[in-house]
Amino acid sequence: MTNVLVLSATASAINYQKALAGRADLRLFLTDASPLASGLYGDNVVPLLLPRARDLAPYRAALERVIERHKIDVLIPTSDHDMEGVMELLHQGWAPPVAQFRPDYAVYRTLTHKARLMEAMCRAGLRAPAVYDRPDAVRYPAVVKPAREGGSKGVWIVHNRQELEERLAAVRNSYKGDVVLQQYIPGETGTIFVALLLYGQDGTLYGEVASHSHLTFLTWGGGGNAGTVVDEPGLLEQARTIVDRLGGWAGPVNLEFKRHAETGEFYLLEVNCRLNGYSYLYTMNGLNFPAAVVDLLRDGHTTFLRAADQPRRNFVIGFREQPVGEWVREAA
Amino acid sequence: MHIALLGAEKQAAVSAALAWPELPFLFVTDQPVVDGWDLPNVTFSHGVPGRLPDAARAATQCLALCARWATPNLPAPANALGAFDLLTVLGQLRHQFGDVVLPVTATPPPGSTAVVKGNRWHRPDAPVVGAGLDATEIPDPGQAGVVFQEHWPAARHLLATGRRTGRGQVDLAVFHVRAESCARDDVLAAAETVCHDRLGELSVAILDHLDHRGFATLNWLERDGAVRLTSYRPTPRAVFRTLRQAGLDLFGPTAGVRVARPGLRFTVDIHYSSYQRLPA
Repeated sequence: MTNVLVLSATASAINYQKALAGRADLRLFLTDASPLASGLYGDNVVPLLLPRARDLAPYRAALERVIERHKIDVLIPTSDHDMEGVMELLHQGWAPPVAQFRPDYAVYRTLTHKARLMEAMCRAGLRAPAVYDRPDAVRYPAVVKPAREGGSKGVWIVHNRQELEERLAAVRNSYKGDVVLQQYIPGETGTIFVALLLYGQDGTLYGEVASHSHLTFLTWGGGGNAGTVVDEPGLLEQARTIVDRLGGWAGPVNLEFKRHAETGEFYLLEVNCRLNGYSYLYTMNGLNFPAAVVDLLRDGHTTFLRAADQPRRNFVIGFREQPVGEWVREAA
Repeated sequence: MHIALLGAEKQAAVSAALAWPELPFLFVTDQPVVDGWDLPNVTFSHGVPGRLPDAARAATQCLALCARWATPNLPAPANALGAFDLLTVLGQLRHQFGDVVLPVTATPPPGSTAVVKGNRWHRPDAPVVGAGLDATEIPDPGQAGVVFQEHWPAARHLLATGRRTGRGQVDLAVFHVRAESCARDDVLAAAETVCHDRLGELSVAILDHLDHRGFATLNWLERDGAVRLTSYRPTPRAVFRTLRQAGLDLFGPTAGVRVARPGLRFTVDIHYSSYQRLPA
């Protein structure tokens, strides 16, 4: 029996839970800082509450207790906050006795900061949306967004200086850290594409797939909540090149692109250093990335995952009322 | 019994179909991509508000899940005002019930922080809250009409939802909303029923005053023992399974005033299924 600790119990973690259901050789532990996270109430899951990943000292102490008490073999962070917490702990020298991906810290810091990412892309000669270093330099329409948030949080499209100033103030009020002013890439719903790449610890590629949104969570865009697997070899090559030129990766990494409505060229918008909330689409199409992640960490190898030919299944996400008994109270 | 759910793009559609797996449901929507294709008791039809497909007209009941679909040719929802928009209804309720109701205005209240709301139905996307808002610059992505409401910081968000068929004939539950997310739909992510006599009594009094018939949802805020009504919509929310668990049969006859017992909790299963595209 392999004990797998999945950090966070929302979208991406739920994909692990669903994709690994029926694996008699695995025992899944899902954690979250909130007792309301729906993955804590999934079937065949041991639910645990953890401190928030940004509260690093208590988070580390709780992780160490869980790893020891439950004899955890494999550790998988699945939210941006947990990924950040684990990366910071590893950078500080944390060395828990578990199998986990240990990507390069400097590469991680570049990939997860939207302004640094675009600057690094430009330095590497890669196509990227322009980043404006001051409001005076902005060409409209433009995008205002926090540098280190995912899932369309705090993203606004602005059309003039007054709107820019208002949104800048609002984003600075609501989110810590840097704010990015970026070129707007024109395109409606349906122009967002995601490339998922899975690397082993040695940088070898073990899987790749591209997908395309049919519906976004928000009326103006943002993350996708319906879509399908697509054949976009050029996009996958572009994604591999970006990762290679920026220093390589270990583990799953998602690159979100927008296809320019006029030129048809793909522009990288952001990178998530984990499987995303979308990834169950791939499992539905026979590409079980969560299982591949566990196999890589536990056994050091897995079968290369690549989309087969038609027929393919599309997907839509539903948020379905699920009665529960008590809220989870089990603190780690 | 065969029930047509109008506006099946709303979260409540699947909630109803899961709550009554023995009943056949027709999901009617004008959206191309909706959830529920894997449910054996659900069929789909394209339709638009006011122009229902034949299959819906043949249903035993037609239930609007969004006020956009609550057209006058349906027997319910209905009320004595003949209107469901917040400007009309909250204005009337403020006159009758006083400070417990937070009215809305067509222009931002000067000098105070305001919340932007949809006048006729829920406004999609992230909430917009701010001081000095300019009504001419607020987009209206759902074509609901834009109105403004004083921002009233609260400790708890409560939801009174259920159905009234006549005076003294009400099925109701009061939920403490623990988590929700605002996207195209206002998605309830976690909630639990609570015992809140005052809110239950006020909600019934408001529905009686309006002579509301059909499903209804009242949004309330609470702080330091005070409550404020912020919204009235003539539709159900995605709590059918919980209400059935409470013994409330919302598709059967009403039997006096019945209030769901406290302590019933739900979260959401983030569910993935394949779909067939409908006409836009």
